[in-house]
Amino acid sequence: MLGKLFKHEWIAISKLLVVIHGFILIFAILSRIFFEVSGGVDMAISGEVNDIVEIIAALIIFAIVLFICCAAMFTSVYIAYRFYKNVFTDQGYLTNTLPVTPTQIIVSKGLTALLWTVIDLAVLAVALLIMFANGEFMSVLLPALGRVLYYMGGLPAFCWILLVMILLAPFLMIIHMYFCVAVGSLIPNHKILGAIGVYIASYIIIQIISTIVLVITGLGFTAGSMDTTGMTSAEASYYVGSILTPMFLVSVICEIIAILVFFFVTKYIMTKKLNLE
Amino acid sequence: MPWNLDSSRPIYTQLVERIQLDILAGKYQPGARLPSVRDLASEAGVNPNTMQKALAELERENLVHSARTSGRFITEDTAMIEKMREELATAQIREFFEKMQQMGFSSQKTIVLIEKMMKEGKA
Amino acid sequence: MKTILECKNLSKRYGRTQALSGINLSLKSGRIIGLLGPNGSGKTTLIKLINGLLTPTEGEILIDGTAPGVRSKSIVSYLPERTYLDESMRIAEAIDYFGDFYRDFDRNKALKMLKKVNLDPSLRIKTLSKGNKEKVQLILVMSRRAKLYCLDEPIAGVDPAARDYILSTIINNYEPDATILLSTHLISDVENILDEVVFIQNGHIRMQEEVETIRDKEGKSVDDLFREVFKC
Repeated sequence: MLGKLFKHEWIAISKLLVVIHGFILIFAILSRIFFEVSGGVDMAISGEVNDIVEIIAALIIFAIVLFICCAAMFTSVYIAYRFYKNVFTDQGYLTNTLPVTPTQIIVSKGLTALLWTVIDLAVLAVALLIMFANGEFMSVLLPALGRVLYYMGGLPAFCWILLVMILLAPFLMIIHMYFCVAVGSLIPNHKILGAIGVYIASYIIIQIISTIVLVITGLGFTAGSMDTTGMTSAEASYYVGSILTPMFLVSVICEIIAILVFFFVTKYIMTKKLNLE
Repeated sequence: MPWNLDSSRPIYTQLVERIQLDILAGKYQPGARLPSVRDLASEAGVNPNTMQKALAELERENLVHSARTSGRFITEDTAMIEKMREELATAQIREFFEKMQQMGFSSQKTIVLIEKMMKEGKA
Repeated sequence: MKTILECKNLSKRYGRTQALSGINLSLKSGRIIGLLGPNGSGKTTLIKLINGLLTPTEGEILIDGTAPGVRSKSIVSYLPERTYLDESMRIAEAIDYFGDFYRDFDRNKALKMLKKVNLDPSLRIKTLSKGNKEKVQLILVMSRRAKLYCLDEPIAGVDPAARDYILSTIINNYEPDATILLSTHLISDVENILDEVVFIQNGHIRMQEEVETIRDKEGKSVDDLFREVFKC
């Protein structure tokens, strides 16, 4: 059943997102053609061709930045909206009477959303490459990437933990939005407003908690006064690691706890407090 | 509702009466196959369970019989159909005469009246 | 016949409003049952409880022996008052959706019924009239071979032709071993297709009786009896 849920969620959510991301890629390709025709990005933007080209080039760069920001934001909002619409409005009469568990619904929607979050980032990166990458740029980027991969083997522990934090971030973001939608749905007639309110409130609370956690862990390890003068680089690395490793570890644990809390509250509301008008 | 049933009387007896009349009037020929319960129920706009019950009653009266798999058939006993038709007609006439009696017409007078109407081509 | 639905001391409270209070109800298989009551009497609350969209405040509810959950949802076919399909779907996609999730869904039956009312499966649900959307939903719901059908106000606010279509669709697709629970306040329209009625008022069951028994004993229609019981 999870597979079927995933399939239908994927079809439903992809209809619009494919169009939006396809548009960005096409826009990037057309822009690149324009730049090529006018002798390269640098030439176009520097006004060496003529003023009109310069203005158009500036507008294109402004537009792509705008599109990329909008697409990234839209993707997140659409993920949250889709969850709201499919579970807590009239469509919920069907979604919540399918022979599946609330956990399966959350997981299938969450995984689809996660996949789209990744695709979104990839498409935006590719769009930027299409627009601006040239031989020189690639000759810097590719070896740099190679070096990063090479050094990953010898990375200190805190970097690995940081990587885990970064990988967990999209999970946290999506389940946090689901949590807000679910709690917001408890407010009769103002479900969306409720969800936004819950988002702001929970965001503030998360900030406060993470600040407190940082201060406590930081104080314990006297972060902020990291003085590495007079140390060899190995010593410095060890010293910084000894401070950052526990700090990041606590953050990762907090992240995992938040994910679990958001998940179980969402599941509880879908099971016991479903509020369909 | 296509069959025009009276909701204040048991539907089941009305269905029995209605199908009985259809058989006697020749809407369903002797030996012919009756539509399925579901089709009859749908046509009448009634519950299939009620229709089932009505048909069972008709079976009890031997007006229809069911073959194991192929459905229900009207009886081929034309003598019985004829007899029932006569009974039904007799009952109607008896009721008519009773009404006439209440209006002060004796049976003799009623018949004279009927004959007169028939001569004038009014009946 | 065996019991398909059983409510034991079932109560539901919303805040301070008591929607259902201590209902005891047992419904058998193979019947068409009317859940009759004025607006706000608790009909929809009961149907939502059966479908697991609400959880009881007290008491329990058993569908074919189990509490609402994955198993009960696979044997209950529910028609709510709302349009619950994703309207950006085509009718054919909605059919795929039902076919994927409900093992008892009969796709051919659905296609045949759509053809009968001249609805092209490639149409988008968004583009359909309100009446046609309701038809599509009814067709999807009745194309399942469920054990219990819950139809919430299926004929409220429709014209007489649509009403006849809905009632004949229900009769034609009803499986003899299934039970249909049909909630309505329009009694005279449906009473001829019912086996049994449950009168509900202010969250209490006022009466549960065979319709033919009502006609036989009281010499009046269910509609007349209803008006008498619920006289203001």
